[in-house]
Amino acid sequence: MLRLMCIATIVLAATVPAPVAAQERTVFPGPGGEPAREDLLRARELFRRGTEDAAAGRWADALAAFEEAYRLSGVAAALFNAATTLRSLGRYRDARDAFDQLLREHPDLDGEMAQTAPALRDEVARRVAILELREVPIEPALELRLDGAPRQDTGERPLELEADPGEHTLRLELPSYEPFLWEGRLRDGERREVTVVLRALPPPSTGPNVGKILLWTVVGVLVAGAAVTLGLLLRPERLQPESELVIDL
Amino acid sequence: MSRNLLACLLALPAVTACGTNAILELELALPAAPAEASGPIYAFVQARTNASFDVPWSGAVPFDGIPLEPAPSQHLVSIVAEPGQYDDDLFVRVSFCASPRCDGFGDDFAPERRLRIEHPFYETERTRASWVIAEVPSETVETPDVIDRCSVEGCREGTTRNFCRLSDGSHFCE
Repeated sequence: MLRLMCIATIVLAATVPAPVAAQERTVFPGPGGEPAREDLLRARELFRRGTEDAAAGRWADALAAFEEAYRLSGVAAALFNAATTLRSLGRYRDARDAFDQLLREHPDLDGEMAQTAPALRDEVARRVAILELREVPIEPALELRLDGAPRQDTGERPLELEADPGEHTLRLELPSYEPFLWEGRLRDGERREVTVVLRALPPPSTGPNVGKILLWTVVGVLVAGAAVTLGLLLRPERLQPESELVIDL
Repeated sequence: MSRNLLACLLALPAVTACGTNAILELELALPAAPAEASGPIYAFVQARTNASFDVPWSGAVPFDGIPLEPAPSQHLVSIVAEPGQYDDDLFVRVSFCASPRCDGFGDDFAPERRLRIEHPFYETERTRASWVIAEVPSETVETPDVIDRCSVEGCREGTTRNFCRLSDGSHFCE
């Protein structure tokens, strides 16, 4: 992929129209018109820096550089490199959206990019996992958060949420009900069914007993601290590689 | 209170488990550099779980390709897995490139050999496997070599070549 990035460097001279907004999809903004010459020069420098960062494995820095290069220039090569960098970061949803935007807004791609982009798009799309939520009531007041970020309720049932592979936390809230929590690990391309069970909150009590709450909080913190300390003491030693040639998966 | 206590107790195994890893020590036998080669040839080694050989692999390159020598050479590559990867197969590809990071002119089409190792990782265990590449291929060999689960060495001393229990077929590291 770095080779493609190097090839793509040559392309950084043309300009393209601004992207179109999309719902529920990540959109990578372009210049919104004909870019100024100084913006193109700045974009070229950012592109070069992004390619260096990618070669050194500094993916987050590379991504920021490519996104900014695209914002300034609208050049397809910058968006292509942003997409491949997102893929390297394991952000397959965003990578898919970037490839989709690339193919939609730059239909005149040529060379290796034109051959590679559709295949890479399909590959990352296959790796997006789906959380299929069942028994979710249709309520305007429903609030969904995946990994702390709000997600829109599309109104469709079962409700499907896309996610990248990895550990996730889902929180679903509805007034008068206990929050529903789900935590789990999604694998590449996995579709996981989760049945949402909402339990009604008990009627409000006469008033909180502040002293009691404080006492249990202190006790809880002490027990948690002891558990973590014990866990650290019992933690097994990590194996050390025998070779200097090490690949961390 | 009971909820707090339960949460803490549940957290304990998580804290103890998060420090573990597993390592496969891959003994890699590389061929001699072809006499007719016009320049140095580097064996560029990559490894992934949950991967496909059908697409190029991107990501950080942990070390430069190993330069082929006039005679066959042996190398040890340590492949480190983390929790969540222990049940996966391992995919290894060795590309024979003209540049150390396999990004030089013509390296797009560098011939490669491929290897799939079935279930090589077991939590907190060190396992071993050997792979011999006898010669530099003239073009990519698309069918991967396969090291089956019971040929992954580990957790048993001696001269056996089968590292699975005869009783139930489970690996000695399980």
